[in-house]
Amino acid sequence: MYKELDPILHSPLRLAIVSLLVKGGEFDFNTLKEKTGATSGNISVQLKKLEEAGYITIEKSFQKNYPHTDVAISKKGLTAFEEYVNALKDYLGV
Amino acid sequence: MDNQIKNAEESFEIIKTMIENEKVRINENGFVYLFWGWLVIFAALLQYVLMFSGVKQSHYAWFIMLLGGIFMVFYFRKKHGSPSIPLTGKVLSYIWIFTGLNIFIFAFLFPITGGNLLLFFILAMLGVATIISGALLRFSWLIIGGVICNILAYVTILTHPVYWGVISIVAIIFADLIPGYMLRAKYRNQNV
Repeated sequence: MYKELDPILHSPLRLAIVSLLVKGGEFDFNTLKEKTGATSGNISVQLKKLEEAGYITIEKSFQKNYPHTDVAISKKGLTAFEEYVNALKDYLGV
Repeated sequence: MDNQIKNAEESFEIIKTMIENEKVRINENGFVYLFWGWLVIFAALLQYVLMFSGVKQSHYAWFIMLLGGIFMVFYFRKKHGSPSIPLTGKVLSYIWIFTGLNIFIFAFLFPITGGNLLLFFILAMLGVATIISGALLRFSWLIIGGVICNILAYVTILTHPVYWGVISIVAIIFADLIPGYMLRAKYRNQNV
């Protein structure tokens, strides 16, 4: 019996965001936008979904009078990503 | 086909290593930095109290660090009971074990040889180990604290040993206590 893939992570942009955060710890909104090539609106929506699932933490602040958003992976998000990768490994039989 | 499977296995190994390293980072709750930070401050204050009470061997106050080292051995044995510690964790352990050993051996066995450079050696080693830890954990407060500690190491060369206790406390506040409390806040935030 195959494990079900996590629907929160099983979306290209959300998976890309979480993968980047696992690799790099934390990024600001603009870096995520630049690295994924997605639009601001789309990233905002996906970040909100990931935050609601408890997979990431978002910190908003001001830098030189401009709003600044820092995004980091949470422990729950890291565990979910690990399970997602393990499920994929099972599918591929490696 | 065999090559593709091998590549897939290797890719998953890389991802696994990445996840394990990130676990070390995310599970860093600052306890070790706070423990050593407060212990150093306690030892420095104890030395001052002994010194002003007329005790000649006031530097024995630093033997309390040895007790701290023994406590840490038990703490890490309990924390990392599993045989597979990720690379980041291993590198951090080696850095701090050998930094601690070097400081202890030099400070307690060769204090006269160390002379006016004794605290320089201690703070420089602490500073470098803190900077490397900050780089591995990708935590800028530790890097900044380590740099300040390193700068203060040079300040000790220019100051009288009577001020070394105060300099040690300032170095520890920047290298251990501030990053420790910041790591604790970050840990609480990320472990939602």
